[in-house]
Amino acid sequence: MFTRILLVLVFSVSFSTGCSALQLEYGGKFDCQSNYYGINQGSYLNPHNHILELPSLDSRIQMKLDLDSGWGEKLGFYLKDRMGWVVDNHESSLENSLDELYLKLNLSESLFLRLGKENITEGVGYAWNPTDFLTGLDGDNQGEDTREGRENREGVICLKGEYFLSDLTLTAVVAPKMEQWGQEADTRALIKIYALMENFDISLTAYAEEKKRAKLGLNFSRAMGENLEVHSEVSLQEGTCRYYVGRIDGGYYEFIQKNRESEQLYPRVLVGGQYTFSDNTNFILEYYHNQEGYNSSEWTDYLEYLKFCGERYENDSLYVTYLLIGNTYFTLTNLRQNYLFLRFSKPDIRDLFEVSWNNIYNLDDASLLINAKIDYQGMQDCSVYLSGNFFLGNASSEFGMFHQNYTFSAGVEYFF
Amino acid sequence: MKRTLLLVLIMGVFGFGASSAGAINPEEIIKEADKTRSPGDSFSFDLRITSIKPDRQDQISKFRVLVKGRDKSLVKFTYPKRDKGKVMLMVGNNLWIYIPTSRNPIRISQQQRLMGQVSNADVARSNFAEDYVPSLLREEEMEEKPCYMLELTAKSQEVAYHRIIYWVEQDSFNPVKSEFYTISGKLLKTAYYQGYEEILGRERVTRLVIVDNLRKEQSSIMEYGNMKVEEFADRIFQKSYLKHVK
Repeated sequence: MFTRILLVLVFSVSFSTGCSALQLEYGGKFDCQSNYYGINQGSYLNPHNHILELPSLDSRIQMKLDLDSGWGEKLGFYLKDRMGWVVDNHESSLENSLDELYLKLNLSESLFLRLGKENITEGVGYAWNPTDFLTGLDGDNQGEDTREGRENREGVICLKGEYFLSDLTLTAVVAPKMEQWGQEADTRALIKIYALMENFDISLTAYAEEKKRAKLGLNFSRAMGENLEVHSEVSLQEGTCRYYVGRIDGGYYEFIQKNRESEQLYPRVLVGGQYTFSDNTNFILEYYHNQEGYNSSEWTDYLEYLKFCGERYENDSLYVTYLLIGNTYFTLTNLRQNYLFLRFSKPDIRDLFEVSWNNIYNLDDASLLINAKIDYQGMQDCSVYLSGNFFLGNASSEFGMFHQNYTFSAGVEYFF
Repeated sequence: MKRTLLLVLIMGVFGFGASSAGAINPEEIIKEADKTRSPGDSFSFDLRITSIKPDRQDQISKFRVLVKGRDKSLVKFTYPKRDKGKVMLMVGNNLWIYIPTSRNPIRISQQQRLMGQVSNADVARSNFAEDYVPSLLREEEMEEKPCYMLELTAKSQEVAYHRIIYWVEQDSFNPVKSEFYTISGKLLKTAYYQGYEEILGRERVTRLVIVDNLRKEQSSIMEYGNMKVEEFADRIFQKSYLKHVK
């Protein structure tokens, strides 16, 4: 519905302003990928793969399309869409995701408006972005947050205004609740000030959501000399809506939402830096603290809940539902409180290959996620890649209880 | 140092009628050489970089570069297709890159190699007079031209090259050659300024050859074209504006 209305709007504007003046730029890629998943049969989340029935193999062909257009300098629209075909052990399906579609209206040299669905990102961190309030993580919606994730996520329907001063940018965003267009979250608003001061990039963000406590965010980054960059992000909120496991009458467990009226502060802090050698070899190190993550006793309760359900689901299907609920609160790389991220990447190896090695170390339970990728870029418009993920840790740790022990992917990308 | 190279590279060279060698001081030489590289306070040009390695197919990348003042530049990646849409911004010694897929501009280093022997700073900006303290070593012939041989020392640690040896033609103030050194004194690369043509009322360099001093068989050629004097709004050179650049 939203898409139809916006498309009608876009084309109405196009005809009223004269199609001949339309400037159109497009680009994108075809991505053909196959994945093999080593299922973790002992996972408390999905014992013997009976709960989620995950496939061990799937393949997908996907097209990502970017369309940027304008009628002169004042008016335009932007569209980003992903469409594809996915086949796994069990079924095949066609998928389409209209990630972004918005009108661009430049009211003056300094004032820009955007209306529509936009993927608004914020933050200077690589592995986590605590100040990415609008489309990022939330207390009761903590998904995996990586650069890859930020690229492939749907935007929010909003009105955004940006005002550019010489060394300062003011941004205001309003994203209303629009259930009829699939935007079920309550109305949200964000105000941001960005400035370059003394060679520091500084952003200060205030965020509010109806029925929830406001959040404040600060992020900055700076280059130190020729090779070193340092960055940090801090977000603060009073109270949390995060769910945790509580014990109720009769010794049973259930998920309970923490009291959002609490006056306890829940900070998220990221501190990191990157060092780049003259041959482009790059190291990134980041520490992330998430006060909303489970502490030791909350983690023990969560494990007990999963074990309790795991012992009963074969005799009572109700516990399958409980395990499914348990899965919805399993938020990889954000579940606990303290993490370390290390990335090593080396592009242009013999001008043909790029390799990267990423580790996320859970400091609370000593489990580890390793990702390795090699990309062959010997062809001008095409790349071929292989990647692997390995989830290491004991059965009661975050990465050790993940649904898979390892995954392998191979793919070809063609850019157009 | 790279920035220096870049200035030299980017702006091309103006033939300035020089005053006599004895009357001119090193600051004036590099200021005059800087002027020869810039057709105005605000301008743009196309840049094509060819990376040459033995037994390999040449690699080509293309860019559109916008320059404002002495310390702001914007580099739009136009080829190959995998890089199209990337934008690099340099303000002072701050350097960011915007990659459409990652959505947010990230800080990068001037030292970082853009392609072949060319660093980010070589493309984004260079300003010898602003960033280096010059001293005149001697006068000598280079490429069969009478030149001033200057030593440029970086004013701050944040520029890409610590030291440059710079040859500037005495008659025209056209740069002829430069050598770029690390802080430890190691020669990184050598640049040769070639293909001077009359553009926008002056002689300007249209071709710069950079030779890697560690792997002398490898080189990069930077070719300049479509230079235009045009005005750009200040907002274009802001990190937060990068996602709007087309």
